Amino acid sequence: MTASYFSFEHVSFLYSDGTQAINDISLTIPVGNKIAILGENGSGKSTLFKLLMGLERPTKGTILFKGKPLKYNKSGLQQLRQQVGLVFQEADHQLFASTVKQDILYGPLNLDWSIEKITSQVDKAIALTELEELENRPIHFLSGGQKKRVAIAGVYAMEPKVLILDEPTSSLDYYFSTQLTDYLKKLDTDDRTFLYSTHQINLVYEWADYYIVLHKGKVIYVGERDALFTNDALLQQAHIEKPWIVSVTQMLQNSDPQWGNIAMPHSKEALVAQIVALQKKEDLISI
Amino acid sequence: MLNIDYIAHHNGLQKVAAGQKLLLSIGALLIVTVSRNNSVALWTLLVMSSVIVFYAKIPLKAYVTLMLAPLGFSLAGIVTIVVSISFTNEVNTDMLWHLFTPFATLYILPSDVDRAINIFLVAFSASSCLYLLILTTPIYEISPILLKCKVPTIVIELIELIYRFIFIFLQASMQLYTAQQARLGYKSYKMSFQSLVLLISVLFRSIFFHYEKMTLAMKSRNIEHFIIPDVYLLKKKWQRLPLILFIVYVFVAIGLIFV
Repeated sequence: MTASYFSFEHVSFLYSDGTQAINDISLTIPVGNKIAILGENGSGKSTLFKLLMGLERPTKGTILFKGKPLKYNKSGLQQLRQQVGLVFQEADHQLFASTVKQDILYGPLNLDWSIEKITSQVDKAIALTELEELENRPIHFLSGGQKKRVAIAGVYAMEPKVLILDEPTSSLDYYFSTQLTDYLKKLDTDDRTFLYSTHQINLVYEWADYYIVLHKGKVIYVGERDALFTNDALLQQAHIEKPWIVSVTQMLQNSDPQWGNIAMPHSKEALVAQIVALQKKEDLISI
Repeated sequence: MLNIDYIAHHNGLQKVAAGQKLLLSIGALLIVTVSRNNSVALWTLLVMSSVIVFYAKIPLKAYVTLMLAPLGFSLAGIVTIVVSISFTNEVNTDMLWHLFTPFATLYILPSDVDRAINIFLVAFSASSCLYLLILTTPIYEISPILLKCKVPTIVIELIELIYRFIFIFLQASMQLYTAQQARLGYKSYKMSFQSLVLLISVLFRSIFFHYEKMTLAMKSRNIEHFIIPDVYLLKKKWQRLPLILFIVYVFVAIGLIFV
């Protein structure tokens, strides 16, 4: 059995107005993976995250955390939320303190850590998200992107084992969008799992190693990237853009027999390396 | 409103301990309201205004604009004190001014004028004391002091949350207002009223929506209580200058009371 943080057993969730947001989902969230959650608008991504945080209770089915069913009493939820952190889509909903540093402080303050640990965690989070200069700025004088970084820092400072990011790049500019995956790389440890929902495939394609695709409240794909991104019908159904690396590789494969057996690369560098290697081989033959 | 908070974070008294600012403003406020003395009130107004403008370096224009609000309120308030009304035709001899109407007589008595001037001066200089605090001290610096004064945590947390929600409210209303203006919502008089009604109802809805989301976020961050212990706040030492200022102020005020 592979270790997993969460497992869903036939979980359904109905909002009180009758919207079926999650429909009979069974899946596991493994330990130590970088998971991208894809799916069109309204496919149930945000609801899935609320279920993971224990903010909503499934109407049917059970959710297991580390092998035990989630307990919805106060201490059970507290334990869960110490280990699972969620960065909300709208930073404004998440921030409520007066200044940047204070907002980042709030999470750790509620964790019964020592003063030294709290200060060092907060400083680390501030340094990671490059917020040093804004440390004492009131929240309502920040721009959208700055608020987002504060939100990320606030969750990161709590050192969650499972870090959930709900469309984190929706208000970030190009620099901070790409920077975000760099932050996440720094946070990557063997036992930390990331869940990252996004519409910007190209930002996560190199980073994420596990994909979950939602469509109308159902899971329609779970697994590695190659089988997903070569399945055109599925991509179209779930409104997923094909990463440019995949498109270019497929175009190469179809353009000329010599490129026919290029393996699907997982990064720009891998693609270029393959092309260069093939070119060299050809040069040798022609000599 | 957004401006006030900005000033509270960027002013000449930023490095002064919050307790000291609190002492200066609340101390002066008490002296003014307890003594109810015209010259003390004028002296306080002078001291507070000069501290705000010269020491805290708050732009004179901003301060004057802000003072217009209490000025308007106190002026409106004293009208009812100054003007008396009588439904009989008895005429008081020492009236300063009177107006006969078929139904009643409006008149002004000198003693009422004195009382009105006193109330006006006290109210006006008391508001300058509060402005000193509001304009130089961000709310979160006051919370630890309130905690030390044994104010229940729930009250302090409520104050902080209300404070945060004022800004959310303002921001939401400004966004809605611009969105309406962009689509000519305030073109005519009639339209303006319609738009305003819509704005208010949407505002309430969006505030509740926001509140719900915020509760979710606080739950998911495990936040139970959120007064920041002062270990984590920047240490600010009591400084000599504000203290000397305060002592001088108190002595002059006491002197003025007994003159």
